[in-house]
Amino acid sequence: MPIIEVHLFKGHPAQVRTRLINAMTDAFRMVIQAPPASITVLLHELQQENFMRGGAMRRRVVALREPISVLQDYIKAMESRDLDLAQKHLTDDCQIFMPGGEVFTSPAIIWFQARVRKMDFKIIGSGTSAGEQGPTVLIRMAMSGQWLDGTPFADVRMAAKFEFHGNQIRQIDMWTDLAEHALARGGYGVRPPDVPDTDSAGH
Amino acid sequence: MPIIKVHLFKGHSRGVKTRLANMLTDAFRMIIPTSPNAITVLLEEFDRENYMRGGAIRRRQDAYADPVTVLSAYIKAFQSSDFDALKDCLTDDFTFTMPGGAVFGEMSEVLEWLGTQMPSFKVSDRVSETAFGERGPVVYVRGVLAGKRSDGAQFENTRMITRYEFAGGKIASVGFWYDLPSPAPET
Repeated sequence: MPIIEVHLFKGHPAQVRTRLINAMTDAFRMVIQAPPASITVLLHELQQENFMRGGAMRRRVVALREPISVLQDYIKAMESRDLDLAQKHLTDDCQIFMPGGEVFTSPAIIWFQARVRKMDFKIIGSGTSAGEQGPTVLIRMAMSGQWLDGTPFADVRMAAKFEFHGNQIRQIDMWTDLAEHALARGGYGVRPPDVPDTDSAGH
Repeated sequence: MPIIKVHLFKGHSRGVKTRLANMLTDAFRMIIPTSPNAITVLLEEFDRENYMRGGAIRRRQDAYADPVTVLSAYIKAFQSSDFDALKDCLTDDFTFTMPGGAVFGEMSEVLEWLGTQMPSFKVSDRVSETAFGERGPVVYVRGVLAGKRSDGAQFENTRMITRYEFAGGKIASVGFWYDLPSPAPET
């Protein structure tokens, strides 16, 4: 026990069904102290014509992309400074709330350029919840890179909340310890005049 | 569609069954975008003696305490510095990571640190979300801070987020971020 049976329309690829089985298992385990080995999940796939509700046939809905993979693509696009590609992962009305209260409607490269010369991000962990318009992903990251004067830094904590609408990001809220680390070293440094903006960027 | 039918042992409270049904509904919606109204959850409860696996009767597993309830108790104990009540909400190896990266294992250290940064503060507009984490539920609480810094300066409208990671129904780690220092960039 338990046995979880899911009746759904036929047609979802194997990868989606695997995600669904894992999600059902995890959902049960979030509430009841059951080891994964004790949880059985059965998917029963039905032809569309074998289900009707309210006197109407219903259609199969296409599964969402795994949100963490969308995030990875977004971060990769930012790191390669492909802002057009990064923008494609954002909805037209996306808002990005950065530390200090600054709000952006496009990838917030300017915010980073004002503080660091180079940066890389490593996702430490993530959690996903069901938001109103799509999944909400909350991630923890470690940031490393160089201050404006070229001094390296590492292990700066970050937290970010990505709200999705379908397969696109509609809002980002970000927190980081960058300011604490800058305060501890006396500021972000000064970029030498002959050094261009960030060598790589992302968030 | 879909219909999610769960066969489980009899004996869980109504609150636990409601949490379970909501959790399964959300789990489906995170993968296949479906209106909650279209998702039916059926819980079918069995007497213990009506189920056997591997030739053995199995026992019912208890539910975890609702993380939101644990968190409410924690916040109440935190606000009144009730260390005994706080201990009931935390795992033995619990850690608390502060802005800047300092890590503490005792709540007395946490309160002392906060006293050095912002001797008085209050949190408003709290919003919490429970996510599926790696070890168990993770609750994120966002809010807005206002109060007084250690140098006496007042602050307000300062964004914050706290991440509570649960293990075995207790808080195993806390991560806290805020916008308080916000030094202006020099370029």
